[in-house]
Amino acid sequence: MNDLWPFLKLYRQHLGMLSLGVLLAMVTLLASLSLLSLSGWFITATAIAGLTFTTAQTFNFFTPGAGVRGFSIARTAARYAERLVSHDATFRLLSGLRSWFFSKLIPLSQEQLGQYRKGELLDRLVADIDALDQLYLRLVSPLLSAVIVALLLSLFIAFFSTAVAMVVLLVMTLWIISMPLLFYVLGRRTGESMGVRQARLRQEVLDYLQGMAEQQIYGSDANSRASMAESEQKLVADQSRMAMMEGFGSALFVSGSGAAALLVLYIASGEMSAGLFSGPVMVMMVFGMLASFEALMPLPVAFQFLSHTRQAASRLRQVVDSPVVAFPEKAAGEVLKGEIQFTEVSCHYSNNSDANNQPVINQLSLHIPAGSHIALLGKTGCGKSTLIKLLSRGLEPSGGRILLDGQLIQELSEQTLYRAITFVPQKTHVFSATLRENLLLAAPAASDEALLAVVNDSGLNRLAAARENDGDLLDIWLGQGGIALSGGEQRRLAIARALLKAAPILVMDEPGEGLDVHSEQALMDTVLGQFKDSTIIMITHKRTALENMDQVLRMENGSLIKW
Amino acid sequence: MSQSTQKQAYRWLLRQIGAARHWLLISMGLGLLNGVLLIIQASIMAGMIHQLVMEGATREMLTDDFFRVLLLVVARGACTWGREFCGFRAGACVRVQVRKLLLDKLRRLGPLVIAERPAGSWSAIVVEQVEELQEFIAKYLPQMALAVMLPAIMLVVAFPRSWVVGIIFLGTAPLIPVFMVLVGMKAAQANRKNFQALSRLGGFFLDRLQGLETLKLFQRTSFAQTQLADASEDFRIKTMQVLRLAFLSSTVLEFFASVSIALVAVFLGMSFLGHITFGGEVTLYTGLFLLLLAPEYYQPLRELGTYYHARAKAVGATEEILDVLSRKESEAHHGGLSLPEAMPLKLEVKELSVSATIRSAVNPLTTDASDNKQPLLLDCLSFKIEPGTRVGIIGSSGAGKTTLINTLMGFWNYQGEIKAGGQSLADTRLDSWRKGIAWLGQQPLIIHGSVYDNIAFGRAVSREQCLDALGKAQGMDILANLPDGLDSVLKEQGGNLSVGQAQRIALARALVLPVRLLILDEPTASLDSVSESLVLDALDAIPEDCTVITITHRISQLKAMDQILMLEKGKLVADGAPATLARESSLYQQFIHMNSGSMDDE
Repeated sequence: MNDLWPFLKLYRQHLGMLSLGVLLAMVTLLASLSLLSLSGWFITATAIAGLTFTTAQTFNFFTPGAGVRGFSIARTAARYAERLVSHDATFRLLSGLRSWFFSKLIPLSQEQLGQYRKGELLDRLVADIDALDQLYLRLVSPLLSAVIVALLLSLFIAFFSTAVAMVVLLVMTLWIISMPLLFYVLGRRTGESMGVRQARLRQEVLDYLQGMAEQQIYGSDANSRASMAESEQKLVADQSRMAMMEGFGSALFVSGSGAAALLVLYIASGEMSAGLFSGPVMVMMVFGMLASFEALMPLPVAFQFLSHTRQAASRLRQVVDSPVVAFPEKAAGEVLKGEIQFTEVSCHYSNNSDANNQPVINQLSLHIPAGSHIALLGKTGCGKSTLIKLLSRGLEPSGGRILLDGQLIQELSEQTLYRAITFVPQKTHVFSATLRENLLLAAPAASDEALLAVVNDSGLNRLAAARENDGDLLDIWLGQGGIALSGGEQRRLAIARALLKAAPILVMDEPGEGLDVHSEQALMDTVLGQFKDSTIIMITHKRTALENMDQVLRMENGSLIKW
Repeated sequence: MSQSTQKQAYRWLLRQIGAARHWLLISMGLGLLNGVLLIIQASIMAGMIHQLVMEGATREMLTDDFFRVLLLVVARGACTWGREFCGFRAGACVRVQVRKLLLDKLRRLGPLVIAERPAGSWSAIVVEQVEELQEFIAKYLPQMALAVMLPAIMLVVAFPRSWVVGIIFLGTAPLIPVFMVLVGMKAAQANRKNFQALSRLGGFFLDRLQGLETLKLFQRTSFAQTQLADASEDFRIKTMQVLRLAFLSSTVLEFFASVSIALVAVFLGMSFLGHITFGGEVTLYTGLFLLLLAPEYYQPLRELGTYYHARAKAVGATEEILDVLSRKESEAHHGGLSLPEAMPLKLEVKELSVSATIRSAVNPLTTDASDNKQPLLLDCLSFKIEPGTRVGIIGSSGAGKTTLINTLMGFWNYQGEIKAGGQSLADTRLDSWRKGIAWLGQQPLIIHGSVYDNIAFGRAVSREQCLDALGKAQGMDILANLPDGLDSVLKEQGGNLSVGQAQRIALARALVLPVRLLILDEPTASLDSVSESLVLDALDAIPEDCTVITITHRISQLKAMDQILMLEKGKLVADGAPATLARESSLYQQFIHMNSGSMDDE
C-alpha cells in the first residue's frame, strides 16, 4: 500500500469530482436495490390486500407505485451521470498524473534519462501511469460504494429486525473483507509470475526476430521455436490459473448471492412466523439482499488488479525517487565570454568501485580561451561524448573542476548554464509537431521570417521540394504521425535549432554525420559564420571543416593528445 | 482503419476459432444451463415465499425447498466456473495458433523484411496484440449467443404464466437486435475513438518524454508541461463528448430493464387489487417469479455491452496481425540437392541481379542527397572466388555491398546464377547451402541466455567446443570477468558486455563449428581500437582453406586481401588484387583517396 500512497494523494486535487462519482455510484446501487425490494414488497402487499375487497379498495398503491417508477428512473439517470462523472474524473486524474510524472523527470540527469529512453522502458512507464489512473475507477469507487451500501441496507433493515440486519451486515462485511484479501493474495503470486513470464516470452520473441539471420544461417530455428513454445505454454498455464481464479470469483458471487438470499429468507421467515413483521417486509428483505450483491460484484476483479497496479506504482516510484541534478537557484554570475577550463577532470560511468571500472575520462586538463574553435577527434568510446556530457551536466565528474568564465559549473544556475551553451547533440529528437514548433523550441519568440531564413540556411527547405507540399513550409508535420526525417535531415534540424539560439559557447557532437561532403561543408560554413565570435567545441571524425578550427585535439582512452 | 478492413479482420478472426470450437460450445452450454437453473431457482423461491406468506407455512415445512435452492445455487456456481474456464481455453487455443501463424510467417519473410522495422514493433504484434484476442474469444463470443438464447427461453417461460408480462418482455424484445446494433456500432465506434484519443495522448506524452533532454537544453520544459496539460484537457473534452453519446446507448438498455421491472410490479399490484381485470388470475407465486425474472431478462445483453471494448480491441489487433500475415514473401525457391560437406568452396557468380521488389516499404525519403530511383539493387554482377580467398567488398554506402552478401546467404531473390563448387544455388537445399557458412554483422547479436547459449545458439555443441571457439575469437578474457564462466547469464542486448566483447562472442558463435565460408559485414565498425585489434587478430587466425568475404571501409584492412570487389550503384566496377587495382583502376584510387579522409584509419 505504501507504494500507492503518493498517487492516492494526487486525488486530493480532484476530490470534488471523485466524491461526486462515488456518490452517484452509490445512488445507482441504492436505487437499483430499492427498485427490486420495493417491487417485491408491493407485489406481496397487494396480493395480501387483494384477498378481501375492503383492503383492496383502501390500499394506498399510489405512494409505492410512484416509488417504483421513481427508483427505476433514478437508477437509469444516476448510472448515466455516474459513468460520465467518473470517466471525466479519470481523465482529469490522468492529466494530473502525467504532468506530475513529467515534472518529476525534468530534474533527472541526462544519463538517467538516457537509460529510460532505451527500448521499451519508457513505453512501460507510460503504461504504468495508465494503470494508475484506473485505480479510482476500478478500485476506490467500487470499494467505497460497496461499504456504504452495506451500511445503509443493514441500517434500513434494522428498523424491522435487528437479527436480519445483523445477518445482512455480517454477510456483506465478510464479503467486503474476505474477497479482496483472498483475491489479492491469490492474484499476487500468479500475477507477478505472469508478468515475468510474459516478459520472458517477449524477450525470446525479440531475440528470435532480431537473430533471424543467425537462426537461418546456423539452422537453429526449430530449437528457438521449441523454446518459445515452451515459454508460451508456461504463460498460458499462469493465465489459466488466473482464469480459474476469476472463474472462482464469479462462481462465489453467483453462489454467494443465492445463498445469502436463502439465509435471509430462512431467518426472516422464522421471525415473520413469530409475528415480528409482515410478509411483504420479509420479501423486501430477501430481494434487498439479492440485489445488494450488485454492489459487491466488482470487488474480486478489483483486487486481482491491485497487485498489478502496485507493481506499476513501485516502478514509477523508483524513477521518481532517483537522485536529481542539483542546480543552485541563483547563479553567482553570468557566462558571457565563453572561456572554458577543465582542470584534472576525471569521470567514471558507474559509481561502483570494482577493479573493472576504468575512468572514461582520466585527469584531463584543457583550457579553451573565449572565442577559440576546437575540434575533438578520436575513436568510438574514447570519451569525447562524455566530455560534452560533463559540460551540459548530464554527468557529474568524479574528480577535478570545470570552470566557465572562471565560475565552477556546479555553481551556475540551470538557466545561466543552458543560456550560455548551445548544443547540437549527437542524436536529434524530432518532436511530433510542426516544423515551426520544432524550431520555436530554440527561440520561442522568433518570427516566421526568422524561422524561414534558418530553414533556408540549414538546407531544410529541401523538405518542401521533396514532399511537394502546397501549404506553408513551416506547417509540415514532423516526427511520429508526420514525416520521418532521414539522418541527414535530422542533423540539419539540429543545426537549424542551434542557429536560432545565439550563445557564447557552441558544442557540436558529430554535426556532419549523415551528410555528404558538399552539404556538410556548406552547413559548417553557415554555422561558423554565425558563431564566429563564440567558443566552439566540435566532435568529429571527418576532415571537413578542420581547417577553420584554431586547434585540433585528439582523445584516446580518456586523455588528450595534441594533434 | 476503414470499415471494410474491420469486417475483413472480424471474419478472419472468426475463421481462426476452428480448433477452439468445442471449448466455446461447452462454455455456451454451461451458460445456458446456468440460465435454466436460475429460472428454476426463481420459481422455487417464489413458491416458498408464496407458501410462507399466503398459506401460513412455517420454514420447517419447507426444509426440502431450502436444500433444493442451496443445491441449485452451488450448481450455478459450478456452471459459472466451468464456463469461464472453457472460455479461457478457447481463447488460449486461438492465441497459440495465431502466434504460430505469425512466427511462421515472419520466418518466411526472413531477416531483411524484419529489419525494415524495429524488432520491438514486430514482437509487440506477436506477443501483446495476440493477447488482445483473448477476451473477445473467451467472453464476447459465448455471451453473444447467450444474449439471444436466454431471453428467448425466459419469454417461453413467462408467457403461459401471464401474457401481459410476456408482452411487456416481448415489447422490448424486438428492440434487442436494435440494441445489439446500436450498442455494438455506436459503442464500438465511440470506444475506438476513445482509445484512439487516449493512445494519441499517450503518444504525445511519450514523445515529450523522449525529447526531454532536448527540452532541457533549450529550457523549454515548463512550456512543454503546459502544452501537455493543454493537450490532456483538450483530449478530455473531446473524449467526453464522444462518451456522452456512447454511454447513452447502454443507458437506453438500462432504462428498459428498470422500466420493465417497474411495469411488471405495478401491473401485478394493480391486478391483485382488482384495479386491472385483464390478464387473467395471477397468484403471488407467479408475481414474484416474474419479478425475479425481469432483471435477468436483460442481464445477458447488459453483460455483452461490457465486452464490447474487447471486440474493438480484438478487431484492432487482428488488423495489425493481418497486416503482417498478408505481406508478400520472397518467391525464391530452392532445389533439393545437397552440397557435399567436405568440398572446398569455389564461388561463381554470373549476371547476378537483384531488384528491390520484395521490400515493400523502402522509404524513398531517407536518402538525403542521392536520387531515389533504384530499380536494381544489384545489376548484372559476374565474378569468381577461389576457395580460401580473402575477399574485400568495398563501395560507398548504398552501393549494394550488404545486398550482395545477403544474396549469397540466400536471403534475397535474385536473377542470374550463383554456383558453389559447380552446383547452382537454385538447385540446392538452403540448409545444406548455409551449413558451413558463418556470418558476423556490424552489431553483435546477444540473446538472453548464458555465454554458452549465445555461442551454441541452439546447435548441438559441447562446452569444450565453445571454449575452443571463444579462444579462437580472442574472447577468453571475457569469461574471466564473468561470475559463472560459460554459464554466466548475459543481460539483454549484452547489457553487461562492451560492444567489443559482444562482437567477440558473436565471432565465437560463427567459428564454433567448421566453416568454409565466413561472411563479415564491417565487423569492426562499432568497436573501439583495442577491441578492433583483438577481432582482427582473431580473423587472421582463421584456417587458410576457409573463404572469407569482408565488407569494409577501413583502407588499412584492404592490403591483406587477396581480392577486392568494388561496387557502385549496384554494379561491379572493379575486381582484382588490391595491388593491381591500385595501379590500374582509377575508381579504386579515387575510393582510397576519398576514404582516407576518415580519421578512423590513422
